[in-house]
Amino acid sequence: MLGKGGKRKFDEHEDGLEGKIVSPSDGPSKVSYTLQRQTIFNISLMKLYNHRPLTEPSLQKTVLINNMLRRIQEELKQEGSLKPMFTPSSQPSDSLSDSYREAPPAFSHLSSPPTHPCDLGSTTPLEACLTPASLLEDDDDTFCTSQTVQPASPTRLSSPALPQEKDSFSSALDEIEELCPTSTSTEAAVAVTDNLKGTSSESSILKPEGSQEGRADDSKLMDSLPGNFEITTSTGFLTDLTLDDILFADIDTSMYDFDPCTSASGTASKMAPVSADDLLKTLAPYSSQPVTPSQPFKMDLTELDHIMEVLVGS
Amino acid sequence: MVLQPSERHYRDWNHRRLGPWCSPTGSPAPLSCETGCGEGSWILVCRLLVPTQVNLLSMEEDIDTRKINNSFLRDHSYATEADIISTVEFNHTGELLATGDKGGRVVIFQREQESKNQVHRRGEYNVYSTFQSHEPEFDYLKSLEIEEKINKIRWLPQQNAAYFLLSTNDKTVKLWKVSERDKRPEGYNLKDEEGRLRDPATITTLRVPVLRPMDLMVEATPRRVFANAHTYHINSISVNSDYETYMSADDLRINLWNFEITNQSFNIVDIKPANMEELTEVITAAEFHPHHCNTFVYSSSKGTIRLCDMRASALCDRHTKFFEEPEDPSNRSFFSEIISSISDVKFSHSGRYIMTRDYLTVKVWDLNMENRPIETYQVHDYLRSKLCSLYENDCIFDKFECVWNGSDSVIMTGSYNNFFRMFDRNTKRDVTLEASRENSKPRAILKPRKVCVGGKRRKDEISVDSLDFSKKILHTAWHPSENIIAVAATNNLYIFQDKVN
Repeated sequence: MLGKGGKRKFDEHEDGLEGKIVSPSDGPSKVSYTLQRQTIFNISLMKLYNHRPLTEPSLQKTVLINNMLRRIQEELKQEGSLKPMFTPSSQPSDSLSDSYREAPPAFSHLSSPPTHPCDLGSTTPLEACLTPASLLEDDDDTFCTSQTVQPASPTRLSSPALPQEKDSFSSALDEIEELCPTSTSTEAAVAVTDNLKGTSSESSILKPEGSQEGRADDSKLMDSLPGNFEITTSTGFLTDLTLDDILFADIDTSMYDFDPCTSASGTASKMAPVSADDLLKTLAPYSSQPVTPSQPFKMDLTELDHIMEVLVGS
Repeated sequence: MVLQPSERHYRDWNHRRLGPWCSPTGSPAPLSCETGCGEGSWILVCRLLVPTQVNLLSMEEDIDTRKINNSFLRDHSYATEADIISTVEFNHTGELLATGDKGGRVVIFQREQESKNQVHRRGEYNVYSTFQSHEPEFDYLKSLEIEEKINKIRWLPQQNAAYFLLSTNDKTVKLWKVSERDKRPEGYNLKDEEGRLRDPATITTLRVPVLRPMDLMVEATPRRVFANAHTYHINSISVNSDYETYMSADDLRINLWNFEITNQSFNIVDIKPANMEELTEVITAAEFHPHHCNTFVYSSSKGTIRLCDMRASALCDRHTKFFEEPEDPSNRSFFSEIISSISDVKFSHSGRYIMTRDYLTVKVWDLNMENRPIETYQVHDYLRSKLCSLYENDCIFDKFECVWNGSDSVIMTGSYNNFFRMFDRNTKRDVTLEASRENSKPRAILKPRKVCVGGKRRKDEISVDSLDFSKKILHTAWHPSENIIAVAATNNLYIFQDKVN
């Protein structure tokens, strides 16, 4: 917050960055323009996906932020620097204009080291991401690789999965089957998202929402915008399923009481917005079995598959 | 909810609560409002604190209010979030001033009547009625709370002794009747004094009940509840000039209601796309024309205003007029769209102009010219270079309102740091004033404030970096015929008057 007090260093950067938007053709200003665009992109993502309000988020705000993201995305597409998010083979380049591209490989690098615990279930601490001031003063590489990753990662998980809780759920199950060879749950989750993105074969964050929206009639059912607009609606659908007790019988359901207020006042549903990260976390125990595809694991999956069929059938 | 304070009780309570701030000196304000907004001509009439929940309960139990008042004064930051004022509205005569807050309460203030013994108290507003309009609800389908915050209050013109107002939260509109009772019938035949039924066998004589005076009681009763018509959050309500219908607007739809019918409403505007993924624009405000009951306008998040005529078709998706100013290419930035989003739209009293408020400017449009506004006023252009951080802390989404004065010659809107701005359309002069405890001595003339942008800061100026963005004036109101304004700053309601020398 720009509270009372003396001048902040940020302001100097502020004026430099956003005094006027310079055309990207300027030499040194191109860097700052790209930097600013990236900052705004990250902030926008943070706003959309790290927010867990008790009340419905303002549609106007969501629409404006979405428009902002779309515009930046369009710009990036035009500049030709938009590449598939999860191409693990791509080499991270040092040029700043490819900062967007750097994110995916950095993500997989950072998923294992403890210093960057890619805790997919947790909401990224706002402080880590909402300090563009200090970031801008830091080394630009650090800015691009570490910070762009953290806000981006939860979004990739939550956005594609939520509007399609049925499809993504079964596809998540498929992925988990496939990732039996992997050893850690974190990497498993990473691979899951890799495959999730792979199946959708999209090249941006917003696009998967679009395509998934397009291909399912759930959108009409849900009356939902791309995931972020009515996240809670789609998870609300989940809560109405009476079989969820069976589904998550072995799992500690206390995680769903994430908010004491809603669970205290709310009665019908204890499951406030269950993001895809939570879903994956619950499934993680299954995937933490030893390397070899374990029999019990397979059996649980088939059971779940069966239940899914029942749900779809009903 | 019924409150039974006496008139004296209210006035004394107010008086004690406010200390020496209560009484303005000087002659009563002129009835004409041609004085404009010249510098140094506004004085603080009174500062009113919306009573907290605690206070309300205490009053019902008849506890000595002195104790409560002292605790108020001792800790000036004693305000819960529920006390934050979310809407302010004068009624059509200016005698009553209604405020709604985040806790779902409506507090109505009444102007002190001029009396011979206390001539200096005229112009003050005292609490007239308080009631809980909306309660928090829970949407079980979406697992979300529905806020009880009052988004808008609109008065109906007075047609009898009672007052009627519409108040709305995000989902439900309610029509409230506020009436006074100062007489009570006594001497029933079938009931005794406590209201218990008498045994008919004991009744030997007949008498006619008589009305006896009692302490003034102001009651508020909900007369209509207009619910379940809005999927999205209601942002505006507007009473039609026919006084029979009104409209309620949410993010994507506008509904037309008849006051008498609560289980049906007509949908007159629907901008919801078939595929929600294509949604890029929402409705931000709407208002009926003050004289033509078939005409209304609504504004959008893309900075456009549409004027619609209900005679053209049942569903007014096709506008009659479309107001949009072409973008200034030299001012383009990432935030151009967001700052162009219109937060408030108001017809002038004459019906000839509309005023719109976006994040940095106030614009006046002539209804006959659609391609650009006739006047543009910069409210706080010094924020243009701060848009990124204002986007980060969400301040860029703040919804400021704007108001006309009674003669449409002056417009007013709020800003940050408890500043509010007035623009005189005729003289082209403007003034920045501050509504705050620290800087306003009672009855003293408000000092104009100035924000300095450049390096050198003069003595009384405040630099942009020192502005407090948590203190924002979103809601203001102007008396319909006099130069009296009400400014809401968090949980405080400031009433200022134009001082006449």
